[in-house]
Amino acid sequence: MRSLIAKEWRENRALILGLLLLAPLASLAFKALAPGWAWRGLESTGVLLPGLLGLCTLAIAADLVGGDAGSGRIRFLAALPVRPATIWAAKVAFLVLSATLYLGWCLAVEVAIFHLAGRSPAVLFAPGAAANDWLLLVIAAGGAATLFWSTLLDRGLAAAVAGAGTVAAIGFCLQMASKAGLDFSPGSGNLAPVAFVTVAALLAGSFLAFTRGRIHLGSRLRRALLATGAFLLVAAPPVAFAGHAVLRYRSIGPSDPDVSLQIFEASPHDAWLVVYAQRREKGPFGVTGPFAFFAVRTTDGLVREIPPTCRAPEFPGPGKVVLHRPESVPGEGREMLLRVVYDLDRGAIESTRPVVRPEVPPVRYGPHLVRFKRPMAVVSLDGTVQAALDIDRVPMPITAPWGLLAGWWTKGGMHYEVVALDGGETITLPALPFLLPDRRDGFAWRIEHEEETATVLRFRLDGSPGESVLSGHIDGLRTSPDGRFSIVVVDGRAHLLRADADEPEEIAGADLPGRATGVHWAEHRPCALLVSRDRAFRVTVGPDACAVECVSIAAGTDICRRGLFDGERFVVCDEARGTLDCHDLDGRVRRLLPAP
Amino acid sequence: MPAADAIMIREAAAGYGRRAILDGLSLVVPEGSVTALLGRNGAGKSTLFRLLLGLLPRRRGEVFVLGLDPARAALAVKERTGFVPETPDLNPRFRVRDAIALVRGLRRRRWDDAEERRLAAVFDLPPRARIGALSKGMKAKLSLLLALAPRPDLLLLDEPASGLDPVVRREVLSALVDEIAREGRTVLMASHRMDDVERLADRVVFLDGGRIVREGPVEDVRAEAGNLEGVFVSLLAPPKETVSCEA
Repeated sequence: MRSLIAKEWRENRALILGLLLLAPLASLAFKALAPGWAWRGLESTGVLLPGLLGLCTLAIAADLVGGDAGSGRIRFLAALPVRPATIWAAKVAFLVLSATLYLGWCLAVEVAIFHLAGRSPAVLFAPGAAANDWLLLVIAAGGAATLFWSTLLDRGLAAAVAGAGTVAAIGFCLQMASKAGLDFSPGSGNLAPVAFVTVAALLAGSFLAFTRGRIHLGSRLRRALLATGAFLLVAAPPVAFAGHAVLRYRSIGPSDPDVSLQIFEASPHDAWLVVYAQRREKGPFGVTGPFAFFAVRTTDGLVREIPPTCRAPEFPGPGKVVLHRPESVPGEGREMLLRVVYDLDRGAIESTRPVVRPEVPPVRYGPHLVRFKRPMAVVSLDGTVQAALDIDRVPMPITAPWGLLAGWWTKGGMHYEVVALDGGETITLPALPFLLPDRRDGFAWRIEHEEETATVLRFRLDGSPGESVLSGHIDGLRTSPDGRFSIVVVDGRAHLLRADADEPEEIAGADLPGRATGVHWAEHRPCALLVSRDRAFRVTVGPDACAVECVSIAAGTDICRRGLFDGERFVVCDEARGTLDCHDLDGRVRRLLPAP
Repeated sequence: MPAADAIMIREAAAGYGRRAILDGLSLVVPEGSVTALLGRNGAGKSTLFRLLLGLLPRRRGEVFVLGLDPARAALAVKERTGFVPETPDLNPRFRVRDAIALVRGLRRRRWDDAEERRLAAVFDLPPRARIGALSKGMKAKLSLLLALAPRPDLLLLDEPASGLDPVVRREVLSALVDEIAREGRTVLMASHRMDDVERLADRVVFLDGGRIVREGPVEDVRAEAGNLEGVFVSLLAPPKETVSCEA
């Protein structure tokens, strides 16, 4: 081995001496041409040193095998009692040794120049310099690629060009992969495995072509086939494994436990609800963001994987859901969507057709259909402009059949207004209410806090001060989705507030223990579930009174968190743990997701 | 294989790609003999050498060199074999001493430094001279030194005196004669020079179309036509076209 390495040194002596001389010349030229930033250590370690090292590696590797093969010297070596593998290993050892020593030489030259110029060479070793480590990986790949091509071609320049081209091609592939969400940026740490596999595969190809390719007989086709085969054999398994890992990460199934879940929408017609699932952690190579939509039937736990949707799903009837997929943006505030009708019972797409919709869809507020246009919020009814809001006003979710609550910020804090949807009148409010009246002269309701005590106040929208109607410790409060009712639990006693009534009604029979109480309204019925630590009640709101029924819910503090109640069962979604559980009102709990 | 045979080939076939160069060749080279291999250009002499060194795979048949199969024990065969190619493929930028150092390093086990010094003196090789600046004769002498210094058991010579002027040729052949006389080495040499063959060899083999067409002791073969060249031409010259006039 030593004799062979000495041979390589003798053959490349002139080249290496030239490169040694180039290092200080290039450094001085660099500093003369760009004095402003050439003295910052990062530029030396990020531009000059990798450039010189890359040049050295490519120049040596280019002729390492091709020089012997093209000149016929390989025939001389082949007749000697030395294994081809030993000859190849000596070449690779020489390349690695030369490149390493040359890097040391270049660094020493830089330190000397800095020192002679009276500047501190410590900047060359500043912490930021390590951020350029990825360039060493690129150079290693370039050296391996050039050696690979030198084994196939008998011309050094062609091998160097092909080697550089190979690295550029790999870089292009990584860039394409980055567009697909994989992170191959220099600081990501994902370049190292790519470089390792690339170098290993290229060296394997070179090795096999050199040792089995009958290079001394000049058989190029055999060499090329062996080199390509070895490259694929080494590169394919890790690439396939990585690809499989990424695909597996991207593919989310109903049994997948590593996702966070959110209930998206529930059907008003039957027991279906749409759930959104997203991966919790980053995937291999920094991939993020895969998501999936499932439709879950809460009665029996049937799960369907449904196409993704860019808008809230709609339920036109029992067993059907309408999803929207973006197609293109026609412009002028409109977008083209693909409307997909999915049959949940059959588990198949029933129909698809393109539709054109406004980018900002209208929102229904009672009998009104309201459309907002950015940047100015314009409230319109059937296309007629009724009122205009400044851009710093935000439509808030609390509504009345006649009004829309908007908010805006000033230095003093948040302010609130109710905008009349018919007439355009704007009423300023002293605080954010939790329930608006169903007529303008009715009462709105809000809460004021003072230390441990909270007070429920009612107030008219004419600016008169509010009156206290309930006071104590508020254990729970929730307004129904249609904005018609609110249930507030004060000191363990539940009270119903109606948008069309002036006084709260105590909900008799809902005996709660005075601890935190979850109030969960059904999405499409005037029905609520009150859940405290060890008891639960179903409250059905009638025109004059409430019907209260004691039900069984499995105990657990998570019950007080958000869930979806459809009147018959309560579905709790634990976003962090990625579970969807259905609590029947007889105490049973069924795990819906992850599906068993 | 009998212990006295340095080379034994039985019905061997080898070639390049689809071309078969050696086709059913059988040959025995006794140990201690000097065998000359004669044949036209392209007959397969160099191919035979590659086969013996394990540099070319055989397609069928058996080959044994010094009792070893070169396909399985190429390294061991090369350890004990010295090979002088027709064209020495040495790096022209190397100096003479560099080439000797390289081969010495790779043949360390059998390299004889004294023999190296003796041959360097006999051939008067300038150690600091670049190989590219050497004459053809000096290159041939260097090749011979590199093959003989490890004291091989078998010497393969592919046209060792090809292209050399008479003076250099005489020097090279004298060195070979001395070597053979002193060491009693087995030699297989390919040549076109009948006078060289008659001077060095005790056996002669004629190769044509990948097969042996005539072999035997030099005296016996020479007696057939008076000289070896006559035998060569009679055996290996292409048949002349006969033109007949028919009414």
